[in-house]
Amino acid sequence: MAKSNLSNQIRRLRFENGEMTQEQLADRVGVTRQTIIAIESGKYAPSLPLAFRIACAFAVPLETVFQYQEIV
Amino acid sequence: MNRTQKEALVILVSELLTLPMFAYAFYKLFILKETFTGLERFLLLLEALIMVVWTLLGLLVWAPKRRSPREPVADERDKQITHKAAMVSLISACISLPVVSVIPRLIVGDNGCVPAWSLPFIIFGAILIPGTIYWIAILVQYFYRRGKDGEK
Repeated sequence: MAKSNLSNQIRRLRFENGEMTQEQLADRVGVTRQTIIAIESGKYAPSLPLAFRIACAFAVPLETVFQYQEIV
Repeated sequence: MNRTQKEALVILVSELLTLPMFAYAFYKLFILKETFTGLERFLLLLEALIMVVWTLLGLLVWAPKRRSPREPVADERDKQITHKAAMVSLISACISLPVVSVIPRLIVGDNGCVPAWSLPFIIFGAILIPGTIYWIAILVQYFYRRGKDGEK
């Protein structure tokens, strides 16, 4: 089975959106700051609804925030 | 540290506080085959009281404190972690309950007997094992699945 790797641009997008803090983003998408930290670090893959909520918070398409790469 | 982690820490410390009590009770009842003296009963009650006070203070005063008023009590990641911990705990219960039930019989033998009031100790001890595993599983998952805390 191929392994997958989910990378994200949350950190960059936060700073491009008025230096938004992790806490502000967490409040906007309705999760804890710890979850945002874990997602940013690639330690936790969010659910699809949460991924969409994060993309909506930055007003960008989902693929701008998350990139999926298959590792063979 | 979020609310789930704080609760896990408080309850785990509380359960670890009961370990000496259970170890001593087990030794006294099943190895020495004696009952408790007045002083021993007082010390066991004192330890139970400390455990209750610690747990209440931790769960009612420390755990509910949040960084932000809008911060949810638990989100999808917390639910995933608690769900996995519950599965691990259930598996451990399936193993520990039969083992704990058999141990007293193996120690006292076919003709041996234990006081009826020791049954709550045995049942509580059997519940304590999956309970402790549940809270340890929560803390371990939070530890290994934490991200690097960098706001800047």
